[in-house]
Amino acid sequence: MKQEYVPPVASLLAAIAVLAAASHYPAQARAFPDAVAWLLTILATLDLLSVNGTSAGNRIRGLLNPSVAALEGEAQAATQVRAILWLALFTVMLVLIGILYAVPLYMLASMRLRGNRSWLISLAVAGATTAFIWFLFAGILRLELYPGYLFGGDI
Amino acid sequence: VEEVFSCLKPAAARETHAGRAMLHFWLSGFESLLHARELMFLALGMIIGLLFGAIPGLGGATSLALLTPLTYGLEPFTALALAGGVMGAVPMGGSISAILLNAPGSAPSAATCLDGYPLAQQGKAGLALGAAASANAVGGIIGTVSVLAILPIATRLVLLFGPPELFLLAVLGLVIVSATSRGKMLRGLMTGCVGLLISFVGYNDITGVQRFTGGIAYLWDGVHLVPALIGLFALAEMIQLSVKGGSIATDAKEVQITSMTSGLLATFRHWRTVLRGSLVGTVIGAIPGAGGTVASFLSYGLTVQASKDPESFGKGNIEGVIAPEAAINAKDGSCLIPTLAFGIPGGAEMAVFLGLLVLHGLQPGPLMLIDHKAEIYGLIWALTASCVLASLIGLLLVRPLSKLTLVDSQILVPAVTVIALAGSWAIDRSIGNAVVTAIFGILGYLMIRLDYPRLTMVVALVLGSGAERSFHQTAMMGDGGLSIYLHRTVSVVLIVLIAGLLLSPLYRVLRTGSREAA
Repeated sequence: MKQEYVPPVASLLAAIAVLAAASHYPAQARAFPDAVAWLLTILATLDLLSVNGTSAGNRIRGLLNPSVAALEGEAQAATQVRAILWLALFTVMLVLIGILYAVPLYMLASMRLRGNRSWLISLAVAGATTAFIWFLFAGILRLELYPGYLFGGDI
Repeated sequence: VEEVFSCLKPAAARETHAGRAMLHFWLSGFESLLHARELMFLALGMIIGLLFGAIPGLGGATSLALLTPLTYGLEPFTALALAGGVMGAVPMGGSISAILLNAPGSAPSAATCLDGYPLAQQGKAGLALGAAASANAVGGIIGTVSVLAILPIATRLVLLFGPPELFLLAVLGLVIVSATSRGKMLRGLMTGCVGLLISFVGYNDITGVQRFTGGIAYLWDGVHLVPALIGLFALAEMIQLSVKGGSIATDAKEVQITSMTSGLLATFRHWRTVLRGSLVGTVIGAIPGAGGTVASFLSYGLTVQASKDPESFGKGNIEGVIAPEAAINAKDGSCLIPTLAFGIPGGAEMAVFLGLLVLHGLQPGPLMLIDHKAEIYGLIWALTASCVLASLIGLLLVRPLSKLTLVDSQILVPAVTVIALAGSWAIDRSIGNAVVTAIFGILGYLMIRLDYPRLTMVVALVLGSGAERSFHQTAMMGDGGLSIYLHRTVSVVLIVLIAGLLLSPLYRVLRTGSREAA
């Protein structure tokens, strides 16, 4: 599937999911979400048509999305996936082992593996960042740092 | 005669009383700022604003998004002083990178690049930076004076707004922001609808029903606004920088500074340009969704048209720096009017600022202009002080700040990611916030990558629950019928505006067609 199709198709699926879920709610509770979901269905269909390259699609694009830029190639796909995975990894670490362990580990791994920095620099930056986070939240704001799900933290 | 006088007397007394009350709020707002704690946070905000403003891609929205959760333990007014410091200082920071690197710190500063960077290339970076600093300060002051003049009228105007008007205003806000999404109206409306659907998650206070939570307890209170904003702005930009790699500036030789004093005086020599830019900024800032980019480019365009030497623009004309800079800072003050009075942000920065207000229990809307006058005037004073002082500090910090743009993304990205996620957790000490921030960060990056505007989603997230509440209240007022919208003058005006904006692409196409036919 062309990457241009992903957002309108995802939006259509989201609208259908909302309509399906809302069907179980009382009439008043589903009135507004239903209206927005139907509107999204129409807009996503128009967007889908606008990227399919047909003459009708080009007309819709010219009218409603005239300055949409052509997407770059997928040469950076691996870099993008890596950048997103690093963020996902840190989030999972944060949830599982808590702030005090996740922050230095993530900083150290980032500096060493992504930045190719020396052990000394990596350790220094990881230590400084952790100290900053601790000082700010535990020291100044007097918050108990999240201990992590594995160490008794709530989700 | 006596009858006329007896009628006029109470009215005159009321006006005098209103004038005194207004003066009282101006002064109390100013006085509230003159405390060591508030001044300290204002200064902190200024430094952060300068720093983030100077780093392209970060800007005011990102810095506010990162700072908002950190203000959790602060008094509302202290948080507003911090936010005012940031918002007032970001334009100056943006000018520094725009002039030195041809890389605008934020979108409005792009207009400054047009003549600022050629001046820097000619070895006149100091002249351009000096002019930008003084234009920033003067523009900020003119903007403040204009807002202080407009605010009392705004208070009366907002009382005309009931549930039907508030619902239509939310729709208008979404349509305006979509229409100004730089030729992506359909996509703007789409992301707005997605934002609205997200805002429906959780407990609905009108019907008392839990909706779209999927059994996840964290979602009972809905998708929290501030973590979502941190993700959409700060983390999305970090993923983008991470993909791009390297540092923001590629060459250390580009970062050079020469003398600045003559630039400071240039602003006063071109006072007409400053005045024009400030007025453009004030007017555009008050229109929801138009934002600083429209203001700065419009001011630049008008200055070129008014110039006797239009050919010199784009090649290093100092007026080409002064015009957009004055407009950018003047709009900061007037942007507060739609943001505070209607909850419709003038731009991304104001959208995040809305999150900060909500976090501190200050609900934007018509009543805010009546119930929180002291806070509003204090914020305006903080913005003005920040505009003026940040210009001075900016000049002192130009050299060290310019080095920041050489920091490798491999250090900047993880550091900002850590602060963003930890800050998001700190809002109400819920780790679910960090997960929401990460999800919205990825969503925000995909929206940048696939060319879908984020601003309409933010506006929808902010306005969604209020719009639904007004929708149901209006339905109750009109016994379920829609005719109530047509029986009220303000709501008819709003309907006409919405229809006009939705039909504007058709008008544009018809006009282009008739021109081509001619």
